[in-house]
Amino acid sequence: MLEPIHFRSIRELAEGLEKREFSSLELTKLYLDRSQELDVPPFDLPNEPREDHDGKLATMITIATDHAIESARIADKELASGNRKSILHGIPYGVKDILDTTGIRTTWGSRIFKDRIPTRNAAAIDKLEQAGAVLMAKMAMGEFAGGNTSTALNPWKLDRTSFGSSSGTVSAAVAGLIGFGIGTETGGSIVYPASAVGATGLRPTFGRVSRFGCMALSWSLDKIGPVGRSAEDCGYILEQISGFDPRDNSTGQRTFKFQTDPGSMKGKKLGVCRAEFELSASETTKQTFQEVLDAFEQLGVELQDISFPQRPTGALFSTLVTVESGTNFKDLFDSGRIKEMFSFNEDRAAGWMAGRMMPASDYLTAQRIRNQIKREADQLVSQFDAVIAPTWPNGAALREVRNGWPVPARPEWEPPNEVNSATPKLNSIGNLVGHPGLAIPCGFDEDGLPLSVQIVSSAWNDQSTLDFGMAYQKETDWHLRRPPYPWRR
Amino acid sequence: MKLNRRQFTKAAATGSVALAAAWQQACSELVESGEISTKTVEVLLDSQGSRGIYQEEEEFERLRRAISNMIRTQASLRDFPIDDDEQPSTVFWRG
Repeated sequence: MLEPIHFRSIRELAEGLEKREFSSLELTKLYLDRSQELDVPPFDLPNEPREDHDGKLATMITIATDHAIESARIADKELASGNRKSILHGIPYGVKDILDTTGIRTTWGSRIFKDRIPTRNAAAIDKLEQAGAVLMAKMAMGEFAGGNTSTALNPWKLDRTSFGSSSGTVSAAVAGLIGFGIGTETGGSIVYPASAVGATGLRPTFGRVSRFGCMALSWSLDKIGPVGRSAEDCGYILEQISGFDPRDNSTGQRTFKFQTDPGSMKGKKLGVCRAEFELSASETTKQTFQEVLDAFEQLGVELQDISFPQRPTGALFSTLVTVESGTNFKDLFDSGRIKEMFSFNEDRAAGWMAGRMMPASDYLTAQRIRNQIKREADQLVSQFDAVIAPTWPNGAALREVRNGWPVPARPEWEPPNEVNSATPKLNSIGNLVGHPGLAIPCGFDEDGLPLSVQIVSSAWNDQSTLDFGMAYQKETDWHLRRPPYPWRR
Repeated sequence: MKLNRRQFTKAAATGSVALAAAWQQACSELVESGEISTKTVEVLLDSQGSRGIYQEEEEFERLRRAISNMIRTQASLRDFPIDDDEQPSTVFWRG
């Protein structure tokens, strides 16, 4: 039986359009109506992340109603004339409000830029336009792609974080408010929020997708990637947004042609970051993660425990991001507008300023260590078709932020600090070295919050991460679970 | 050459302190006294451009804390044993 239309996968939506079950205009109006009902956006970005929004999700900063309807009308004409540009043709999507969109305001999640209207499209937006997709909304995000400060709520439980920074995009995908989404990641901003809300999100290989027209948080770390309701969704989106772009010197000369059939998994090798599977103190959660490994084993996948060497990944991220952000946001300091950042971000701004002061030799030292980690990780991961770890040790924490991080809802499930800090994290390594990572939902914790695993492959083997995700989602239905409405408080 | 606070203040007054030297001074002060002097923070601030919002006392103290945190973070990288042949990823490109 097919899902309600708003929850359908990209393939199902494309089939519906092709069979004229509905038009692009009808589909777009359906999502727009749902958004008006369930997601009144914070048009005036709040001074602080609000505790709630009268039961609304607030995943969207701007709903581009007129643009969406016009695009849908054009798509319908093109589809009717047999000019189908891609599988995304006619499907409405939301994009994190960090990518420039011509004539549609792009705030970077900050009230400093609440009236900023670009006169150009980001490269990924142009590509989606060429693919016939319908841009519908600019999605809520942590201010300047900060981790935990978005307005967007978690549809599984309103007092829990949707994490960050691509929080609006993932929450809207799971709540059936958009057909698919586009997020960005510097150190976890696609996979962490995807984990918190049970979405499927892909951090592509560094250089796979052009960042032209996207706010830079860290030139050497930023990635743009798809968010959907399945691994297959992510593959379809990635095919459309990837490719070389001379305007972004990180992009590679490689094309990505998505293969929808993962084929047999028998004999494929999966490295298991065992220490990360042990981080949660919840037996239910640990058992849920173990069942993911069991499922792969039943598919004939060969599992092998692995461990990355312990490296100062936290210090590396802090150094690279603060120096690069501090450099990029110089104008905000010079103009004094940095003062207008949300109050919970004042320490972050001061960190950027400190980054501006750091000697170049220290920045280069960080990049030398990063190079060593890249070589070590490339060597280890290349021995496998993919490696796997929980995306986050537990279900989503509370919305409340302390010391820059959401407060755990169940402190008793959290790993002791000394254990946590001594455990190398697949996500940190994957981001530092540019490996693709796919977050897929894999069950729920005892409080009913989604759990997720991250599947990582060698650079440019994005297809392999997707193969593991698709194979798993053929055997399980976690990605088809929907948060009940009204959203749980 | 490591300067004591008086020597550093004198050098700063002549405008002859480079950013790297000021940063190193901040590292030394943090190790020796657990905090970075106001003069050193001011020299660091002036070395990168205008003082902007950090003229305000509250923001200045926030910046002092941020620099301290950054130096503590940096220490783990400075102490990390790197092979002499290791090059930095100055152009991070996967080809």
